[in-house]
Amino acid sequence: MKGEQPPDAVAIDAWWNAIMAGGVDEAHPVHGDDLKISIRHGVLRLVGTMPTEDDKRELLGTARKYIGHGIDKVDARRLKVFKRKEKPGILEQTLVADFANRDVAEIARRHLVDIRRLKAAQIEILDRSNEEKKRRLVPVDFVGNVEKAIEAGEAVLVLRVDETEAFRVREMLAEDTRSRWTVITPPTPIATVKSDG
Amino acid sequence: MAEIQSRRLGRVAPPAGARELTKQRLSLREMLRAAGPGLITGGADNDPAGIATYSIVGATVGFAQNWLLLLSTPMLIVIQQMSAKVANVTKTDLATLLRTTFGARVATPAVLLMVVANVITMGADLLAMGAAFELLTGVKFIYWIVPLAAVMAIVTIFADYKVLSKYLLWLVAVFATYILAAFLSRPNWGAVLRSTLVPQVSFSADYFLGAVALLGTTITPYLFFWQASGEIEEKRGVQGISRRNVDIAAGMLWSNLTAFSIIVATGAVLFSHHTAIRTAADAARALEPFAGPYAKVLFAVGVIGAGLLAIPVLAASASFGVAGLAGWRRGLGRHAKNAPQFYVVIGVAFLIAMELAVSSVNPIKALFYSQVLDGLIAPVLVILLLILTSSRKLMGDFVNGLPTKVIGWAAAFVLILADVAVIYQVATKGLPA
Repeated sequence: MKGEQPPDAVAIDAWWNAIMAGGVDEAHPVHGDDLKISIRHGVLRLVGTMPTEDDKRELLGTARKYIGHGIDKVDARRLKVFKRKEKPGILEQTLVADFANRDVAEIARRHLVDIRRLKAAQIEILDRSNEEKKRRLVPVDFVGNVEKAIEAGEAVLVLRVDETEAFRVREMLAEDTRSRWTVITPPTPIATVKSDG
Repeated sequence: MAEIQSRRLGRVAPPAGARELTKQRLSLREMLRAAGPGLITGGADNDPAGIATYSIVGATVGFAQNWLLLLSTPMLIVIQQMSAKVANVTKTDLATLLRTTFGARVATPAVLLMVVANVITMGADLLAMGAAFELLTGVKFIYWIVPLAAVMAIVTIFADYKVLSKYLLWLVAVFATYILAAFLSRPNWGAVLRSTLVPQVSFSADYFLGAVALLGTTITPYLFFWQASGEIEEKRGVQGISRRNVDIAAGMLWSNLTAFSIIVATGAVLFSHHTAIRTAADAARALEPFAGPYAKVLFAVGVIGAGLLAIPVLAASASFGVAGLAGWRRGLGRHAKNAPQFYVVIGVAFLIAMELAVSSVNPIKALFYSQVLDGLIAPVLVILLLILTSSRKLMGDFVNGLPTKVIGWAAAFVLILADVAVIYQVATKGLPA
C-alpha cells in the first residue's frame, strides 16, 4: 500500500493526461468549470479563478512539470485567486440529497470528500438502518422529504456546510453525483458560544 | 434546559436571526460602488422591442400612460430583488425551484410560455436590428437578419458573453440621449407631470394593448430568470443581499428613466403631430430635437447596441429555463462541451427566432405584440415568485417582509387587471389597426 496516491491526486493525474492528449475541454476534477485551459504554439494558458492561493500554487506547480514534456511555457496571467467578499463562519445551510440506496450515496459522499475536497461541518448517510437520526440531523420542515425517501428504500446524504460553500455543494450534488433530488434549508447562524472573559 | 440556564448566565450569545447577521447599512459611497451588474440587467430590459413599445406608446397615446411607468418602477425593483433573493437563499435557479416546489405540471407551462415569448421577442429584436442597419446603410433589413443571428449565436455559445456585455453596455448608453431629447423636444411639462402622477384610463383596445405591452416590457418574465441565474453563476450568497438590492434598484431606475424619456420624447415630437410609427425611421424622429440630421444614426446605433446586449440574454434565459426544467448542466461560464444541451437550446432559439424574423412582415408590429405576450404571462410568474419567496420553509429568515408582499401582490393585481381589460377589449372590439 506504500506510495498509493489519494483519490483526488489520481483524478488530477488522469485529467492532466487528458489535457496533454488534447482534451482541453475536460472539467478539472476539483475546480470544475472554474478553470479553463488552452494549449497553442507550445504555451499552456490557464484562465479562471482558484479558491485559494494554495490551490493556485498547486496547479501552477503541476503545470510547470510538463514544460519540456509537451509544452514550452505556462501562461497564468489570467489565473486569479477568488476574492470572496462574503465571510465564512457566519451562516450555514443543510443540504439533503436523495440517492437510490446507501451504496450510491456512499459513492457520492466519497466523490465530494475525496475528489472535490469538500469540508463539511457534518456529512452523514441516512437510510432504514439509522433513520432515528433524521430528527437530529435534518431541520424539522424537511423531515417529511427524508421520511418519504427512506420509506421508498432510498438513502439520503445529509450535509451541513458553510453558507459560502453551499452554492458549490448544491451544484456538485445535482451535477457530479446526479442526486435524484436535492433540497437546501434556509441559512441559519452558526452557533457560537461567547466566552465570558 | 442546560442551554436556557447558560443563556441566563450570559454564556450564550443572544440568538440573532440570519437576516440580522447579513443586514448592512451602506453609506452613499458604498451604494454608488454597489451599483454595477444591475445596470446590465437594466440595459437588457430596454431591448429593441422595449424601445419600440415605448416609442409606439408615446406616439399613440402621448403621455397618458406615464403613470404606469411610475407605478411599475417599485414593482419592477421588488420583483427583481425577489428573484435575486430566492436564488441566493436556495442556491437554485428559478426553473428548478418551480419544478421542485410546484411540480412539473405547473413549472413546465410557466417556463415554456416564457421560452416562447423570449423566442418571439428575439425574432422581433432581430427585425429591429435589421431595420437599424437599413437606416444606416440603405440595404434592406431582411438581408441583415441571418448574418446578425449567426454572429450573435456564435458569440453567445463560444465567447465569454459576460466580458462582452460590459462593453456593449456603452452602446446602450446612446439611449441616454433620449433624456436630453425629452428636454429638447420641449414637452408641456405640466402635462407630463400630471400624466405621471394622476392615472388616466381610456377604455379602448389601443390604450389597454399599450398598457399591457408597456407593463410586459417593463416587468419582463425573462429578466426574473436571468436575474436568478446570474446570482447562481456568480455564487453571490445572502451576505451581499443589501448591496444586491441597491444594485438592482439602480439598474431598474435607470431602465425606467430611459423608458420615461422615450415616451416623453416620442409623445412631444410624434403624438403632438399625430405621426404614427410605422417604420424605424419614424421612431428615430423623436431624437431629431437632440440630434437633428443625425437622429437616424443615433437611433440605429442604440437599437443595434440594445439588440446585441438583449438577444443573448433572451436566448440564455430561455435555455436556463429549459435546462432547469430538465435538470441539465447549465451556465454561460461553461465550455459548450460541458453543458451541451444548454448550448443546443440557445442555438435552436436563435434558429427559430431567425426564421420568425425572416418570415415576419412588419418589424414594429412584431416587436409590439411580443411585448403584449410578455405582459400576458408576467402575472403568472410574478404570483409563483411571490409564493416561493413568501414560504418560510424555503426562505427562513429571508422570507418576504410586508412591504415586499404588498408591492409584489399589487404588481400581480395590476398585471392581471391590464390583461383582463385587453382580452375583453380585443374580444368585444377586435384588434386595433
